[in-house]
Amino acid sequence: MEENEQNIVDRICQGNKEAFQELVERYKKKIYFLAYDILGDHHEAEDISQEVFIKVFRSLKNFRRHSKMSSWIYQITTNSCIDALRKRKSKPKISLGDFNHISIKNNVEGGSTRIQNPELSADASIMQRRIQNALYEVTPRERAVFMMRHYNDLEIKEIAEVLNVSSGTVKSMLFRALNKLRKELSIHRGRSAMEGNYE
Amino acid sequence: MSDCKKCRTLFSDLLYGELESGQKQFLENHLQDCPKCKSELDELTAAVRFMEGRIRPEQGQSFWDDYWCRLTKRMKKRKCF
Repeated sequence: MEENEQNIVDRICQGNKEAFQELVERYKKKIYFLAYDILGDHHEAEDISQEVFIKVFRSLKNFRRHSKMSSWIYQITTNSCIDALRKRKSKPKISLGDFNHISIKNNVEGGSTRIQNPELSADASIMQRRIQNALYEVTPRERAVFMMRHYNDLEIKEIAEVLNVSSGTVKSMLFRALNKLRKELSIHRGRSAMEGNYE
Repeated sequence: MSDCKKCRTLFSDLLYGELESGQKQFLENHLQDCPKCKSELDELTAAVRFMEGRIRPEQGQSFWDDYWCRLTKRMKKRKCF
């Protein structure tokens, strides 16, 4: 664990609320976006992200200091999201209003391109729905792995640490997810759509 | 293991930049001779490209500014503080 984070953990364990706020500020976007990516629903993502911070707060004393803080927090997030997905009875409805503000993928820190009120074309909106629907064809665990790698910039080694599996297992899960997505996208759109021709 | 099966086990290494040089040579040679594997790899690459077009709905600044307040409210209810 980084010295800085070690210091934050020590201060939180001594009951310092400001230190906990520092931790929340550092991770809130990462956790919310990972939860959103896995769940595909804003309200659920916020709810889970806050529950993650409560779990972190309550179990920080048991946190193994030699572990990486980010991996531990991602692990709690991923497990919470996978549980929520398994309990879910239906897919969340994606509203076009969800896209009134968009950020291009990997905008975890909030520092990259953000477009206000874009007039997304009908084709672009349909494409987003297709992508979202395709993502429901993979298992919750495969979906989590795919999202961590493709939209949250986690390396295969770190995903393995988060899930407590080998890098080989992560690669297999990624391949299975990708293969299902390939088949799903081919079935519904044909190869020309996947290559970018949506007409 | 057949060459096709071996080739497919290397696809994820290729797509995620983890291919070793010896494996790369094998893959290149096999893909030149096997249209089926080549086509499968092309489709996987196209799927990755398509998925890269995913965009995230962004929350307004007030959502982030008020995040801590909402969290502490919930934590107080749960008697964390």
